[in-house]
Amino acid sequence: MPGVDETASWFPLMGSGALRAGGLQPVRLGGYPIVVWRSASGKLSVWRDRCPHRGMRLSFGEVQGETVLCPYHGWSFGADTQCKFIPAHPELKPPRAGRAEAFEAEEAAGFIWARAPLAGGRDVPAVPDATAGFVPLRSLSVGMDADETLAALIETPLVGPLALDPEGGAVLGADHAVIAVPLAPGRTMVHLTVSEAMAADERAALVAALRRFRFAHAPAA
Amino acid sequence: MTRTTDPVALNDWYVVGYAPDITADAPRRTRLLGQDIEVSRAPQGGFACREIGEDGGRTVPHVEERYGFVWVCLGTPAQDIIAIPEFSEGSDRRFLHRGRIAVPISGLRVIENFFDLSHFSFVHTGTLGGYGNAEVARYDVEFREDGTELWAVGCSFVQPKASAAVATQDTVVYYDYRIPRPFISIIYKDSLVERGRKDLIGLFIQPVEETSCVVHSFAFIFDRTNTDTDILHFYHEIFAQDRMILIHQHPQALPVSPLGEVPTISDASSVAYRRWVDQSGLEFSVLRNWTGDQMTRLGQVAGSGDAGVAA
Repeated sequence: MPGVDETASWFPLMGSGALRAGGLQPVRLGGYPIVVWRSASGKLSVWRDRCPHRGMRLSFGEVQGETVLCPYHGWSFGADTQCKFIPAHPELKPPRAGRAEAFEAEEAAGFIWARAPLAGGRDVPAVPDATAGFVPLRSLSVGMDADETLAALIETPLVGPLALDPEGGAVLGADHAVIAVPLAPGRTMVHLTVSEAMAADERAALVAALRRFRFAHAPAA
Repeated sequence: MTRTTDPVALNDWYVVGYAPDITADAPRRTRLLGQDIEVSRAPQGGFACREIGEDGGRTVPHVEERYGFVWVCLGTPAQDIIAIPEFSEGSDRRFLHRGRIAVPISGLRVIENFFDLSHFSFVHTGTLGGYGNAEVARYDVEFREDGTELWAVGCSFVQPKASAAVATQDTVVYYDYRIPRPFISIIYKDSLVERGRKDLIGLFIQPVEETSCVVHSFAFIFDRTNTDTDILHFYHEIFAQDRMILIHQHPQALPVSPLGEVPTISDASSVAYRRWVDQSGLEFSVLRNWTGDQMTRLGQVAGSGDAGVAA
């Protein structure tokens, strides 16, 4: 994408399975509201959660076919970000400037990824090499910054030792890893990803440990 | 925040309370333009207003009761409180205080939403509009009263239920919107009960902070069948729907640069309003140079001072 800041990096926003075709979800990244949506045919979009017409959050709207509708005036936007239809003027070709603001988006390793002009993410939309074959298990938000979250996980691991991934943004264990994504100041999303071969009871124990970790570092209400 | 230094904002009149709500033993403490104030009944009649500050406060000389509300100007009034001639018609209209509702957004965004026609079908589906009739017919924007007031006239819209007083049936309803001051708007809506007469619905915004306000509102209408409660329920449902939109607009102040937000034909009144506000010199609640703050291009991060982003 032209003009993207050099400090831009990739962040996993949610598991791919968390968003069905025709679904839309609000998320935050670096303090900004983001909307993630899939068209009826499955095309993925990650946009700033803001209609260019009057600044309303598109995540309060709905997906209709291959477009997303703003809840305020019903403007509909295609996956190319261009406004396709303005209900107040059915005969009018919508203005070219009527475009949503898109992030580069990819799906990889079971996650939906977006490239944003923030440090602290990954250089490519991929989980650490050591976690090839891992699958997303659970995502929770905690009330700390991302680097604090990773430090806390190293100090008090979930079930076994965790070490900082050399590339940053994640901590790695033998059969599981945690990726930390900055949602807003003092608020971080942690994605727990585990070896595909991990048994059900081990998965349950990890999720329970992650929930205890969250309880100990709960976000402010 | 502290009291604004914007002279255009300070020298205007604002409603700060509904007169019957302020009694001898219950003054109203509130905030106007960042300044804490207390409005009370004056011993000699009428109302008094005092600024509350660490230095003990200061008496505000400009306090008036008009149209059932208490008005305050913190500076030196640049003009009189707006005239609403219908209030002296000795009218057979019913007056209803529609309440006082806080909204964490620029009061200018609230006014702009109030005179917006094209949201009816989507935000007030089933009452003021419907999906099947979303098209906005042409209307005219003009300046009246020696160019001091903005009006959008000849507005019309197909409404399933235009007021509490009418049965549910698609009807073309005709409107004029009067915007006499940046923080005030009044609808003049053709009555469906009393042909040839107008229902008035007005919003008086109390700008509390740059991005928060209290909406004082009245209805002055023809309705011989409904109870006050029924009429208020109708209005409150409408306003709750608007509020859901208003609290999620970004940025929270009103961007007046034509590059900030993208209008279409039906936004002619909004385009004129933003230009009028811009030219008025008003700074409070206004964003002059906002052109979109695209996150994908500029690399803005949290904590960069964008008041519009709540963590």
